[in-house]
Amino acid sequence: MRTTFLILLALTTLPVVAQQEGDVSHGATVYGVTCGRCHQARSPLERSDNEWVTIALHMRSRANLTGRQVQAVLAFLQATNGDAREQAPDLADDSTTAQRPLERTSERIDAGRALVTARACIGCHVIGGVGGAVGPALAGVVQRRGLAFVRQKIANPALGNAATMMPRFGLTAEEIDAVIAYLETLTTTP
Amino acid sequence: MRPGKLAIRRVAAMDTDRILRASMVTLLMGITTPLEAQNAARIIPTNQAVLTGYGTVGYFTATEGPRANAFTVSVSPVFLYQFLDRFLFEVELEFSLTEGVTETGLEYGQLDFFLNDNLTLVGGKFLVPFGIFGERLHPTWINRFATSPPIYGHHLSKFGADPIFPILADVGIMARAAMAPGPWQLGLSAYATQGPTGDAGQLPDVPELDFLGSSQDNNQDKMLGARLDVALPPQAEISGSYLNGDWDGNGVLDLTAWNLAAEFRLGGAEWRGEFIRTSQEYETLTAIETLTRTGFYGQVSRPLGPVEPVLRWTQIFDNRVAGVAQAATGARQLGLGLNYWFGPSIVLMAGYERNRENGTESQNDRLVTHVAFGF
Repeated sequence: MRTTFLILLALTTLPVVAQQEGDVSHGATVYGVTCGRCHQARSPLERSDNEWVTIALHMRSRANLTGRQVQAVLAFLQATNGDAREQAPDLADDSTTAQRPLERTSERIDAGRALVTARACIGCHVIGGVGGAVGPALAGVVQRRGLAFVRQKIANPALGNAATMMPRFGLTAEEIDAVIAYLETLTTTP
Repeated sequence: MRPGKLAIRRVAAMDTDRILRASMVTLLMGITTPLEAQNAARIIPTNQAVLTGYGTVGYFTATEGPRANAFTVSVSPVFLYQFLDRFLFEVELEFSLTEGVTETGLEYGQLDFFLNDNLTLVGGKFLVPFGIFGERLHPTWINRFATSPPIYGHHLSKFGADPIFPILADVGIMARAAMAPGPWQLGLSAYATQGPTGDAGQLPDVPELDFLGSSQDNNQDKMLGARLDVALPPQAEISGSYLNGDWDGNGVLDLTAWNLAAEFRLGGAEWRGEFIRTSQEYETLTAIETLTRTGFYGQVSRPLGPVEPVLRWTQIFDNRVAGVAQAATGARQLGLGLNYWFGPSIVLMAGYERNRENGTESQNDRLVTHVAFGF
């Protein structure tokens, strides 16, 4: 038992190992993977930014997380929390909107890439051969599931699966189309 | 009482003193960790209270044996109070109804001190990190089956054979270390608590032990234990736990327990299991004997959208005294479950248990359903 405490003693005197900063993508991965080891990950929209701070500390103690990991998780939760509930377009029951043609311009694809990066989709989905395993790989997803479904799913992730941890990102219809235009360019090879 | 045994206990007591001194040194060294390392753990300086927790409403009925059936309800609010990013006070209460009387309990009440990026110190009454289920999985909205595995004593789990170990919350101190080198996640939790109590004068029966989790102790020795977690997310996590403490008033008779736990993600399914072995010394008229109890559970669950089938198998082996098996003291259970998730933390569970006790014809099969709501 003395050995155990000597190990703890050594841990306290270690410098903080340079890890990934508290970035949104890393946080999304930790949230989806580490939290998901014990329970279904809760939607980021369930709590306010400040409430997530307290709950993250609670889980830091319970799940043996490092301070850096908690920072990253908070970065993800607070980035995807916001006022998305009010902004999210309701496409779930709007088949006319969901079916409209998609314009594929280079500007729109670039905008979609920027949104996918900013929203840390890679934390839960494989993109370009890397990413999390919580959700399906995104290469070919539009071709597999169809344009209308993907539009509706991004607008309302609970469509077809109320237990999903994917948050409503509050994207406009134009932003959703930009994301889809980018997703269509993804291939299964890195 | 054997002189040799007492001498060993005195040495153990000296070890405890050294451990406490080492803990103080650990605390001192942590506080003097370079400021930049401390700042790395800084999040949002604020202080606030948050209410969370979970509740369960259910119904169970025996399908074989005694025709017992009942509606059930319980609620477990969790109060969190955070001071800056250094301190967190956590309290979980438990309210349940038994024979028309509202029972209340302090599941845990602990103060967490986040020392630096890697170390947290805990004091108070906390869930003891022995195995994984008791500390992390037992809340009804997290547990994938409608009842707890029978090796653990909690939430309708007793089905004939006595559980091997409780979902244990005890009073003491704990240090929790975490590291994330590369893709790995390492956790080490070490603690000293009051430990088990029991009445050594119950001859000829083996004394039953209690884990009172109170602010009193029946002897001078503390229970010491640790758990080491190694995870490679998202595929796997394994952990090993050990604890040892004296349970009698004289501080002579030991309880030792081991736990091995594993969890894997394969084929979209979650596979998990735990193995427990306990050795309890007890005194007869002529000697000190050892009762050994062993058991395990294995569980697989596979989400299919909002629907989740679950299969669980539990085996409690016959007790052994001095290496000799005691007939008809073990049991086994097959559990078949089906869950429907209304949301990430709201689930309707139905579980069918096929229960069999070794050496008897008794059948205590039952169907357990409930709605669990993590809020």
